[in-house]
Amino acid sequence: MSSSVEAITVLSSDGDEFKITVSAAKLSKPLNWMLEDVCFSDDCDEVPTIEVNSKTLVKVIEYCEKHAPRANSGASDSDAEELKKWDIEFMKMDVKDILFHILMAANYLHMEGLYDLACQTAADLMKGMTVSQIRKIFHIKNDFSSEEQEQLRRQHPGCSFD
Amino acid sequence: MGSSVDFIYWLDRDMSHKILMCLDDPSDLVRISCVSRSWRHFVIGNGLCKQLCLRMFPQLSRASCVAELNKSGAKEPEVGSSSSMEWQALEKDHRVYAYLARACTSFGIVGCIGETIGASSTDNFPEESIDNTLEARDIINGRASYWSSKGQRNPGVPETLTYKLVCPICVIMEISVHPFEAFFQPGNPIYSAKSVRIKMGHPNPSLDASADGKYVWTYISPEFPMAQENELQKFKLPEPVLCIGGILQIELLGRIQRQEMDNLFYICVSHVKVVGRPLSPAFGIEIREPSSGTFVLKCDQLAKCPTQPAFSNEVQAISPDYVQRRLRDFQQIVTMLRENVVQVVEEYDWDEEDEVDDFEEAYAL
Repeated sequence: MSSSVEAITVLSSDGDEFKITVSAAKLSKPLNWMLEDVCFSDDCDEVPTIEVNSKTLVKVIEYCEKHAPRANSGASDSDAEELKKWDIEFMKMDVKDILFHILMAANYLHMEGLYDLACQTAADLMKGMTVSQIRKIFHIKNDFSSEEQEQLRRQHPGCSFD
Repeated sequence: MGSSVDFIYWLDRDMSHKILMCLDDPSDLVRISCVSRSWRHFVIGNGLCKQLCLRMFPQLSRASCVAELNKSGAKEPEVGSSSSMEWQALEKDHRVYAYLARACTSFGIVGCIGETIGASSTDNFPEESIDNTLEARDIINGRASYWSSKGQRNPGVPETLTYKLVCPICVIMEISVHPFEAFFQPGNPIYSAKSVRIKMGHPNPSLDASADGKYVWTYISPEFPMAQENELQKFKLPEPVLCIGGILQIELLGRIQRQEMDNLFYICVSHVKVVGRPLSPAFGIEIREPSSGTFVLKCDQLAKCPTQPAFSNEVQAISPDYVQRRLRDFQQIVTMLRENVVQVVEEYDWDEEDEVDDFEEAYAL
């Protein structure tokens, strides 16, 4: 790989092209390996495909570009604080539409930071929620019979169901 | 993903597991186990309640198994149950650990000292016995109430105060120690220690136990610095600790105060308080192997237990007395009565000289 290359082009699973800087791509092990294996110079027209849909890949690249400077150089405490706030804003997204796609993409791309963040975000959605609220958030059908539900209520007297 | 975002269905096991282990309140897990059959299967099948309890209280790692006593629903099968022995054991774990987690965060917060076991040394017995540390006041019936170590030339010699807790399984949150100020000595010296450390454990029933091997310590706290001040000093444990076996020891490390009279270092304590949540009779333990400390965790969901949602100062202030009662109750009433009689007499017959002489004689450490 030529050292003059600062950004690479990748394809999403939908076939759209995306640019990602080399330093940001380094946050992902598989992307990093790709950088080493594939020729990215101008006379090479091979564009690697990432098995993540466009909508998700946009978010993943946004996360990488934001986190790359800190990951590559280390950061002061105030930077870390700022980044934490940014993460919280970044994760305000629709559960159904994108959160779990991000989670799977982070897993597939071996991005520990994003993976931990997505898991924590998913867990936080359930904290302090009643049983029926959790069902609503994740669109889950209650498949217990009415006798079974009675029994669950008896077994967990302190548990809020509704 | 369709209309549902049932991640337990969509994601692989490790990812769902990781998400659910990001929770830190076991009651969230209990609610999650009631969402649907597949979610219940996931939470129980992976022993998540137990894992969360173990993370909260590493002392539970030595629980070899759990046993349910007086189980009310013995006849009714578990929701969505399959009959395999292995599954039944997982369901039992789920019930017991879910209840334990709830107990550890909701049972009433009270004083947890049951009785004294002993001090590493006592200068004058019984006048300066460890028993005095159960009493909050430092003067009773006109007499100072405190425990005093023997004097030492070397300030590095440590002392210990050992107590039996109200029950063999308690969640301990905070320990308070009140160093004693010898108000009857010139300069009012305060015989505090440099620092304190808390140990918790269970009796060692093996016969060849040496003197200091009488107990097996399963928890040792960090060292807390102690101030040389006449006040009840609180030492909050970094995390609540599950004391299994009901033995608590306070180590007093390093001496700072010399007694003028004999030039020796002493440590004196007027009061000790241990605050936490006793879990008996809902929970009990049976030590299986004393050397490794493995035990059976017994759970009785029918046992009446003090549930109290929030911390209340009032309860904290009153309860230690409740717990320490029994014989002491009677003694205190007698003391109070005598105190009143003495006060009445003193009003009419106050002999200052006598009083001062008595004082010095009685209160050299």
